[in-house]
Amino acid sequence: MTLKIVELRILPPFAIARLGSSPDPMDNYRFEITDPIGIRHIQSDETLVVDRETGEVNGKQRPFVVRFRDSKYKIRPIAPFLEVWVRFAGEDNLVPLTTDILSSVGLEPSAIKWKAHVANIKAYRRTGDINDRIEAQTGSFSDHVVHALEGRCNNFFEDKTIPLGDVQYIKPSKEYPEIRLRFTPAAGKVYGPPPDPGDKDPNIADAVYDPGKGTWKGYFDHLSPDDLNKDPIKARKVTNPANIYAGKAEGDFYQISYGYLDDECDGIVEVELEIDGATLSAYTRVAAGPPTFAPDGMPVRTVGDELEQAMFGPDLDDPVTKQEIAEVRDIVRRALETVRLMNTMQMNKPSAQRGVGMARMDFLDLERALEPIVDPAVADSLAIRARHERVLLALEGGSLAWFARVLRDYDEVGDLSNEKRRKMPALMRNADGRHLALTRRQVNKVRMAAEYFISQTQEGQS
Amino acid sequence: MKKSIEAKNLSAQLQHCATGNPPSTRPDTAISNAFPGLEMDFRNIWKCILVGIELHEASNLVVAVESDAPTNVHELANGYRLMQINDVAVTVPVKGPLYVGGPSVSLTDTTFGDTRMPLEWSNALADIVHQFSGKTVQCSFESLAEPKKTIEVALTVRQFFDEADVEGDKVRLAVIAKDIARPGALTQSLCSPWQNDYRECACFYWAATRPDYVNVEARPDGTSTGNNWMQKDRTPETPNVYVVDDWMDPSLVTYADLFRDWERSLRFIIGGVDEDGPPPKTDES
Amino acid sequence: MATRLTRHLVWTATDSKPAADAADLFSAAATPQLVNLATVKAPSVQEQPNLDVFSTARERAVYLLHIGAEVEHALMAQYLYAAYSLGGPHLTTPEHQRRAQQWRATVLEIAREEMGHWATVNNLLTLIGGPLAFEREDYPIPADLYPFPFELEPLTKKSLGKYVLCEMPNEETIKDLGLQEEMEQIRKSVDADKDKISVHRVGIIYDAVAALFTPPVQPKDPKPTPPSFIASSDIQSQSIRFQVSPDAWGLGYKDILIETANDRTSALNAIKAISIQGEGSTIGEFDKSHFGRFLAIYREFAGEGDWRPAREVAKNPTTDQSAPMDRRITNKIALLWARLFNLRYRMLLMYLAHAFRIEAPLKASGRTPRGLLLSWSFGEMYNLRSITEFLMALPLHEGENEPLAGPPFEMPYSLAIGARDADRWRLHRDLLLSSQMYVKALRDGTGKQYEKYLLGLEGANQSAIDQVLTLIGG
Repeated sequence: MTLKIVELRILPPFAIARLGSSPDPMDNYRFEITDPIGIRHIQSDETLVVDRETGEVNGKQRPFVVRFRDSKYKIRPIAPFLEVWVRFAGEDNLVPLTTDILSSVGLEPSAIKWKAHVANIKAYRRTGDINDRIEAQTGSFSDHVVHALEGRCNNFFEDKTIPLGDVQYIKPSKEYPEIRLRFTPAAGKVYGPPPDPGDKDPNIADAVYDPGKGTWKGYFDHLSPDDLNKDPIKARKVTNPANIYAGKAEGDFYQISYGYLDDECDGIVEVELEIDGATLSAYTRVAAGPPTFAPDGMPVRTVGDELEQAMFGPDLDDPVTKQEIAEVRDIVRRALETVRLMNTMQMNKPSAQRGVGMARMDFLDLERALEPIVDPAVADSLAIRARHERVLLALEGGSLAWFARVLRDYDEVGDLSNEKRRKMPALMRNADGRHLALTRRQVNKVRMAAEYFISQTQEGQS
Repeated sequence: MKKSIEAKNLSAQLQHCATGNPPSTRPDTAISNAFPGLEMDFRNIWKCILVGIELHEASNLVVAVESDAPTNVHELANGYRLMQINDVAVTVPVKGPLYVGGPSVSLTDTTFGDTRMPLEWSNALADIVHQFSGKTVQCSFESLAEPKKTIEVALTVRQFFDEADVEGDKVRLAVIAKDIARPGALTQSLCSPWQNDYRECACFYWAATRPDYVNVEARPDGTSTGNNWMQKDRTPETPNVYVVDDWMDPSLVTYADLFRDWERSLRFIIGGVDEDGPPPKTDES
Repeated sequence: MATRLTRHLVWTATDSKPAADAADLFSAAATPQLVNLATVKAPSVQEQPNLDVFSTARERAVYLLHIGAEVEHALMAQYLYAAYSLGGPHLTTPEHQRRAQQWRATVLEIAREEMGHWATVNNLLTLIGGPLAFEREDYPIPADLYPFPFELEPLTKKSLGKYVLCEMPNEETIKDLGLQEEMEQIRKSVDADKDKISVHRVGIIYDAVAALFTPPVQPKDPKPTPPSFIASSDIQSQSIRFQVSPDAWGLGYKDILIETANDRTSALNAIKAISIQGEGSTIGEFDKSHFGRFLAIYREFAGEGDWRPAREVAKNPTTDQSAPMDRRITNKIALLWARLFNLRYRMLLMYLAHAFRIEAPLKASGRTPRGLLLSWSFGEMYNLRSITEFLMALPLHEGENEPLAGPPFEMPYSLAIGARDADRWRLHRDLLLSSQMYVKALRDGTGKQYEKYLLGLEGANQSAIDQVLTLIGG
């Protein structure tokens, strides 16, 4: 009896790729936490080795050593796999789509149609010129060759594109029958307009942008007091932070763009399958950014936290679950991992000069009195780290007190009194430009865990 | 590899790690206190959350109105700010001392002269997105030019996560809906090129991803010492002293270094310490 | 019964008019009217503390503050024990769990506030150049200033009643609050002697200290020598850099009240703040005071025969193997944890003692180990809490299920700290190394049960040892 496929999904629904110029993509690894307050150990994990020529998986391996670079010191890009999963009629579960399932409905792997569309519209965001958008689309494909994501832009020279990476439909085999696609990001190069005649520009890998067509070179954010007077709406449309494109400073307010571009991108990958005259489809999102340079640590507030809050809301049900307690432990650990790599003494300092942290930003942005955030005597990294370690350790003993009391609420970000600036996480910037607040869901989770009635047996702690 | 996932378990799907994908492919390794961000500027995800208008990712300004929006909405393109959604204020007052030891008073933004700051959308809209997905909400906008001029309009909250129609049933998915953000939207407000951001001493945001303080050790006086991650060409012989960021300091990585060869200039930090340095440069790059 | 602590303390009766100024109270020439307080009926008699030895105003203040510190210290541990005893796997209904959790949170808050008072008192001692007061007797601590001994015991209606009475304001305030009858009932239920005068309260001691800080309104002519109040020259404003501020302790949230003082006014404010919050003679805000909060819990608490909110933990548990059986910890693992608890408690006190002796740097860029030591002290609180949780899940005796063990809060044989800095670091090193021995013994004895915690503690100990070795090396 053939089961009827009723839906397709691509998992994960959001994948991050990370730039690197090595032709050899990064091996898989995972974390092992042996010491509850120690570092995460990076252990090699099952890696799918793909032959780019054939698109086939050569084998799984578990590398002896986890290397982030190749033998030429080039960084190995993180190229995520995107898997197709299906659900059968009457079933509650999704399962990976395989060649067996396809043949059970009389289909070949070639029945799968992929399509990728990524873009880099950083220049467009500033200039507002649609012709500054860099887009790469593969069109529909079912073969297993590497499909380059050629970033095209109307304001480029005729023959020029920016490579934004590539996608490859992995050819399934008997040992690896799953349907998957691999997205490989670009090398992390910088592009721009041609240098002035007679000059060289060693910063760019290729001169792609035609300054005769577009205004990205020479663009500047209009944010002087004069601009604000003349056209306040235009001034307020500028990004915040502003002036963050490569360029030359002019006067007190202007940054004149060199017209540089990069090969980051984000976009959508889609899959389609026609079964019995009906078309099933699914899509997922991808984004390509720089590597995580401290790969054994995780940030304290992440896109994962945002997605969880968007999905489930800011509040949690009573009582808190074991899983949620484990997640709270993870939040405290991430805070520790952040603090371990931060010169908190320096970031605490009040100075109008660069090289310090939020005290300076509060002063420059709002003319708040310039003073340290926490008592400088206890701001040293080792002291701060010790506090976090003890709090994390206490979680193993079943208690979480201080941390829950001192978390910053999302709506007190405007309060820059001494007391409120010291709330946790301290010394870090929030998306609104002021001091970092965790997501409301994270804060509620921590507070609920702190109130959680810890039963006295060790079994109560996961 | 996981053999099956419950279709309703969106949590598991959000966190799914496909075979061969290391942890840094997951959204929980992408920072979201975006200012502007590293892997993406997640603030952009909220720009189109209200059908008919486009909000600024980093303020409450309406930056555009869709051409097919109703007439009363079109006026919003003329410099209006969103102040409230269904009794939820999206701005908060800013206060603090103007001098050390002084009382907390209202503080004014030095660029725009605002006394209230817009909250980041993620937290401000958390309830709205969760409870009113696909439904209408009462939005209150204020004119930039004349703050007393307000416009009240009902707008629909766009579905954040997509839904699929499966055999007549609506099935919730774990992927962010297409019309929330088109390709390119999430990375548009990042630095161009991204290397620029690394040089801007963003060290107080994302130390777990973009380290600040490395090779940290204890000093005889009980405090710590270590290197600035941006210190150039570190070797085991490099003195363990933190050079404070200063874009003119030649001992720190420059913009040019990053544009030309960021892979050599930036080190992976494992266990808080530098990986091995690069081999001597040869002519082939 | 006089103890080491109160051996010089003499309670004198005054008439209901409060003393005009400290001079009258403490004038060396005055003859104390010693009254047999057991025979005097409340409430018309006021009592004042006096000393049975000649002493200057400053020395009296130092002595009285010393008493205050010991009392706060004793109350803190007593309340911590009571708070941690609440709850447990024997509570099966969510309602019981919730209430026990709420009461626990309140009592913990009160315990934390006692800690804040203790720190404030030590700050005041520092202000007038007195030595730090970290001592305390081991439990049970004889009834001296209070009608009941200090004891480590699980929270029951009866023990709550004792705490209410201990924190009670003066009889006038009780009358104003309309609580006379209720207090009478509580006195009966805890077998307090109803003829005995209202308790000797630390509040009166603080009042006396405040008086010593207060110069007379009209200067006396001729000036009495020595002066009957603390001289300005003995109030050292620069001592503030040796005091512990809430900024340094908890990174600056208004978490617990720790006051610093740099002059007469701030000293008086500090004393007033402690008084109002807890044991003070005036109740500033009833609901927020310790008295008010204990009373609120008392009213709702489960009575005899009702459900049991607290675990059946032992009373005044001890590691002393010659102590009576009802107190002696004999369960092998509990004994190890209890000894480790005492060790970490000692470490906490030593880190603090060391930190208090290091001046906070003058400039923001100054580098001293003070911050590190304060962070370690802060961190030790968490270790103590964790170990308490472990102890209160283990039986006191080998082979029996109840009573459960508990943290003994036993004081080290000495609180003396080395004169030279390197020697202080040596002490910390040795205590950390001793900790490692306990970690090993516990791991050997318990297999996987506490594995994660012990592993984490071992790592934390080791990195602290590494740092300390650098600090000794110099």
